[in-house]
Amino acid sequence: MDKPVTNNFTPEFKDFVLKMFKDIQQSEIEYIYRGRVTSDTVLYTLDLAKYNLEQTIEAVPLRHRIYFIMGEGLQNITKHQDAPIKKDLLDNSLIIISKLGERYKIITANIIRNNNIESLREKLEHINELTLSELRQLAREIRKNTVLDNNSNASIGLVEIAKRSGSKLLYKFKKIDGEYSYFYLSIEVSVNKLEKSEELQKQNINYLNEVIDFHDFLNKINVKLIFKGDFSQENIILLLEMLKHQIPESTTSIRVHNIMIEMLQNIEKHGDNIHGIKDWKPGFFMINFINNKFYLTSANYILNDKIEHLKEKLIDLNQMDKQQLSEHYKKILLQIDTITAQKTGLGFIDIRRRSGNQFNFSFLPIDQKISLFIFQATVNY
Amino acid sequence: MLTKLEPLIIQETKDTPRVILDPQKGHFEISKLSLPEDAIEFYRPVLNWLKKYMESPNPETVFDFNIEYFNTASSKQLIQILLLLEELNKKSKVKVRWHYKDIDEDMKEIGEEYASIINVDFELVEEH
Repeated sequence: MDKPVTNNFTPEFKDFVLKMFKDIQQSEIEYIYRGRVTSDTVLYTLDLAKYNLEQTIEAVPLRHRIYFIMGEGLQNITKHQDAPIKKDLLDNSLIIISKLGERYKIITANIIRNNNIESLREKLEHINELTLSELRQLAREIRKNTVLDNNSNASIGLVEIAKRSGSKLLYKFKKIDGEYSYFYLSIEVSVNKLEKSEELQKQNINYLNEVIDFHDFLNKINVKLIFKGDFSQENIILLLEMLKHQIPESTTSIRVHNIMIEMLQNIEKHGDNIHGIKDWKPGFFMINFINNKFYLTSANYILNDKIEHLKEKLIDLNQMDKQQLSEHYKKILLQIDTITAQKTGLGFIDIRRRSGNQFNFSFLPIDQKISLFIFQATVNY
Repeated sequence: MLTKLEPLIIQETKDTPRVILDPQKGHFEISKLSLPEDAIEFYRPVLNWLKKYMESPNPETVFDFNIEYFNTASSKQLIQILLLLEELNKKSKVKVRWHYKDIDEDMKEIGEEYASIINVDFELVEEH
């Protein structure tokens, strides 16, 4: 019988998922992406964020502003990014949109060569010293200059970001090794005019430091794809498209893709909702790759009275061997009474068969009515 | 004599497959992606069309399944199509061609499994 895979399903890991998940309802992290940023992924990331912003932000001008700054921020990643010798480092780029009260934060991280840090720092400091009208003037001047080298091309992005956000650029460099560092850029966008207080500045720096720690954790467990938010069919299709760009096609990637389809549609179909908001299926999904294994983790709310039945089903499936799973699959596939039912009963069987490993799962109580269902499938590379 | 039934053509979308059921041209195919939220709704016209076709089928029906990804909700409907083809096989010749990408071992295995359930001429076609 397959042994349960436990090395990625530690109490710390479950805490992390719970924390990530709770943030959805408190609207802290609205959107997160970690991975290689290429012109293709820029488009998918923007589409995915756009859809999410439409669901969560009512004010159209603010939505557009955030969307624009995201676009600039992402393109900034591709422009400023120094191609490291260790190509894997490029997979560590990060973009996070968080909401803190009335303020939205867009934080990006990309790889930069240590010897390019000083010139970038000078640019950032220069931009931060300028007033809004001086920024407008500078943007015009850069645009007029027909001969743009790569660096000035990138700084038009930074100038635009500073101009549109109306806030100072908060940044940090964190050393990776003797040659490369991460360049973190934190941009703030607000519905109202931004307050400028020392207290707020301190808060912003603290938040950036938290994100840097969080980024460190994502890098450690080698996250290939992470998403939290609404699991609508539109988002599911976008996520599937994104995965194609994140993992090169192979027997394993197709398997991961298929399992992901079932896990995401499971949330979409069966996820419960803590506040009874119709059609809002809050969920969390992540793929990470360590020790030659892909771990696919999902989390969604479940009503407490559904837990026993689901638990039994998952334990049963975990105990079956390949032959038993195949027979069980055929039996359910041909069951007449479920042909016209939306609930096919095949999802978990399919995941179990494709992954070839036992599931990990956990039910973390939230209150008397509802729990968080964390589920993990493992695929050997 | 070929059947006079109007062909059923459904163009693919980002999450539903392309369906071509054209007796005049002898072209029967389901291809691309099949990830609909409501698979029952999507496949209902397909199943209805096939039931009509079975009343006066072509002497031979070659049916191609060339699906890249499908969800389990779709698999339940695909097996219904295959069961109808098995039924059709009792009165006219039927051949199922199950296409799969050479690297997609799971799709091959699913094809083998369906072949073991359905009593028709079932060919597994490896694509590169």
